[in-house]
Parts: sequence; structure tokens; C-alpha cells
Amino acid sequence: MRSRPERLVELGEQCLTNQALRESLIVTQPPACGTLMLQVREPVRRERFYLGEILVTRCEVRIGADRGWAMIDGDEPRAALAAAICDVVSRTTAAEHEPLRLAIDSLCRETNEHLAAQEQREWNQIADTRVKFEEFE
Amino acid sequence: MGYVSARGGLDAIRAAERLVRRLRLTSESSWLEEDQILEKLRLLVDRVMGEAGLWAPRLAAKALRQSEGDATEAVHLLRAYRSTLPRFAYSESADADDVKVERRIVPAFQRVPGNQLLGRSVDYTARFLERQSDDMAREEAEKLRSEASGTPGDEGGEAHDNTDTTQRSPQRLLEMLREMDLVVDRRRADDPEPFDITRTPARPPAARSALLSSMTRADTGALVNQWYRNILGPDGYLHEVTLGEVRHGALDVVVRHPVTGLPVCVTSVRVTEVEAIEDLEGVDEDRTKFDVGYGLCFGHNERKAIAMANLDIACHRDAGRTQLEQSLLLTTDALDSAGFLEHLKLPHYVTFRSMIERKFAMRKARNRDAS
Repeated sequence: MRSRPERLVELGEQCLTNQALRESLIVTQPPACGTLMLQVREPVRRERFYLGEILVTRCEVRIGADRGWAMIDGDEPRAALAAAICDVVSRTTAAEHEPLRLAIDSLCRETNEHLAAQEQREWNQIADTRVKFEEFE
Repeated sequence: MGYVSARGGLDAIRAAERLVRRLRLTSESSWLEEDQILEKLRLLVDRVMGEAGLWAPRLAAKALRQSEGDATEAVHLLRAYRSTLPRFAYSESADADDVKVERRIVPAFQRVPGNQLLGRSVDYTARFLERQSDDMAREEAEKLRSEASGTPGDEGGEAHDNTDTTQRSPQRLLEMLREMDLVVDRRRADDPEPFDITRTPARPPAARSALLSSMTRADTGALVNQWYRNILGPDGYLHEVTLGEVRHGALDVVVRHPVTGLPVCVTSVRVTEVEAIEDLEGVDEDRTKFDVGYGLCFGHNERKAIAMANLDIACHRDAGRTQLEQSLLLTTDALDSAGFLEHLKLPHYVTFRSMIERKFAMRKARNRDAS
């Protein structure tokens, strides 16, 4: 769900090149924008409160008895549809979908690497701002 | 002068709308890109999202562009849009302990678990207005870009070990104080459902979750003013305030997958978090201990989170003795206050006409009495 939208759309389109998959795919909930309420547990009383809402796009699809679902950050209808397709394909067992499942696994790895690299880049930028105290005798 | 019902002004209203739109879209300068607003006016974008109660950076940038930089108008646009959207779900409860810090300072304590990490801050910088020309600024930007390219982070700076998780999610000062038995333990054993201020207006006495939600989307200026009034103003309180944690960082947003039931991270949002330590000195309080207030808001907005944390503990200690809670719940929302204020610009011809007639009637009565 956290892959870059353009990569999700690419993979979703790749899934749809499979004719059997394309014909059996039913979009049960077309991509639509809505909100997700974020609840946070705060540390003082350990009680929950609502911090605010987040704009998301949600989509649901079905292939036979398998359901696929996606919720994507922001207003990204194409990426949400693609993510829902990837979600359902990743759960199908048909042998002919194996190359697609491998491609989906590969995108998940790529996403994790991308997020880790982003985090490393961020840390490289801020690590020098750690305070080193000098104590006087 | 009798009362005359009238209608009109529609053409003038439409012309005013067209004028605003035309001048905004056709101004001489180059088009203001969303990315520019997101990157170069990031704090304003954060503030608008926080006060709108909606994390949607691109929409906030659009709203700021449409409102020509009027933050309250941008909040209005975002809230109006949000009101058209369905709410799909509630996230899993995010633990504030999991915030991955980009900045973390602990004003109360020098030696704390983790680091004092200044991050992207001008707190310690003298305020000199940079008056160089645009060309010079562009030249400097190019120089900085070329210096940064090719370095391990590709953004400047050396590659630093990022594997120690305590650096990004350090233990909070509150835990240290608890270990030292220096803080009143107010942790709840139960887990009440949070109050949703977007569905039901919060009125005093309100659940603390309602107060926290109200403050987190309050107008930043209003909240700072409430804090300042509370600490120095006519409310007569003088708190011994010390800040524990001031953090800015990313918080993962997780939902349950409706098919598999597994947790799925949808995105992460940046938040600012503050703990305010209060020295207890009331006769009915445990004076051997401290108590702590909490502030958390969307984006990077330290002023707001600091005011919120201080007002959270102030409200707890006040326990309904004054109108503090009422003020916080009813007078700090940007849209409520600005909406009421701005409605004064709409025609009040009839009400004012009736006021004039009352003045004439009173004058007539006074003259009659005098004669």
C-alpha cells in the first residue's frame, strides 16, 4: 500500500495483460476518496483520542471467491485500483498467476528498500544535529 | 424611512468572484506549483492541515493557493471539502511511543536516553532577514546542490549508522520520571472510546479525549493566546512549567485489512509531540511529585503542541473551577471564530434598521418625558 503510485499502476496494468484475470476481475467497490480517522494512545493517561483524519483512496475487487482490498494515501484512484488488483492476485493460487505474484513480491521488497533508503537519507541529514555536551570540571 | 424588503447584488457577487479568480490566475508572475508550496511553505501547509483536522498535503497546498495565502480561508476550504467525504475507517490505535523522531529536545534534562537531536530548527539562530537578491540565492542553492550530490545520502552530510532504533524512538522523559517515582500516575485501567468532536460538539464537562481533539485542531494563535493568558494574564495562574519532550517525527498509520485481518500500514504522518511537566504545589496535590500534560498535533507546529500540553495539565488541575475548559472547547476553533467574525460583513440592514428605530423611539420618549 506504500509503494509509489506510478509503480503500483505499472504492476496493476501488468496484471491486467493476463486475459483470464482481466475477464474474471470484478470491481466490487470502485476507487473512491474518503477519510481514515487516526486514533492515538497518548502516554500520560494511556487513553485514546482522535488526532484527525487522513485523506485516503479505497478500492475493493474480487476474482472468483478471492477478495482484494486497498487503501492508499491521498487521492490516487488508479493506484488504489492497481493495489487492490495486486492484493487479490497475491492471494490467488492459480499457477498461471505465479509470475505476477513474484512481481508483486518484488515490488514489496522494492518498497521496503525505498522506505529504508529514505529513512537513511533523512538520518544522514539530521544526525549531525545531535548535541554533544562538554562538561566543565 | 420604512422597512423595504429588497433583493439584489447577485451580479455584483458574481463579478467579485470573477475578479478574485481572474487576478489570481492571470497575475504576471509564474505559476505557483503545488510542490513549491509543499516544500517552501511546509510549515504553513502543516498548520493548515492541523487546523482543518485533515492530513492531505496536496489538498492543503491547493487550498493555500486558492486562498491566496489566507491560512484560515484555506482551513475553511479543506473542512468544506472534508465534509463531502465518507469516513471509511478508524485506524488502529497508534502509540505515541512509536513516533520516529526527526527532531527531539528535552529542555528539562541534559542526559536522557537517546539524543538531544536539534533537527531542522532555527531555535538557536539569530534572526537576520536574508536580503540577498534572488539571483544570489539561486546561485547559493546551486552550489549547495552540487556540494551535496555524490555524498552517501545524496542530500549532504555523511552516512550515519541508522540501525540503533533508540536514536529514532528514544525512551521518553515521562518514563524516566516514572522510574524515579517523581510523577503522579494517572494511567487508566479502562479504555474508553474516544470522543469524536467532528460528530458531536464537545461541551464542558467533557472527556479529556474531546479536549485533546479540540486542541489538536484548534487555531494555533488562539491556543497560544489561551496559554499566555492562562500563565501570565488575568486568569491569575502562574505555573512552574518545564518542557519534558519536544518531538517532531513520523507516525505510522495502520488499519486492519478487512479480508485477512492483518495490520496494514497505509501511510505515515508527521506529528509534533510535547510533554509539559508541572510542579504540583496545591494543598490538595502531592507536592512531592510532578504531573504531566500532553500535546500532539499534525505536522511540525511546536508552538501549538507546547500550548496544548500546558493547557492539558492546566485544565486537569483547574478541574472546572474556572472557565478554562469552556474557553478551550468553545473559542479556539479557527472556523468557528473566523466564521462568526466574518458573518458581520454580511448585510445586517434589517437588524440595524430595527436598532435605529429603537433609538428614535427612545429619543421620542425622552423628549416627551422632558416636556
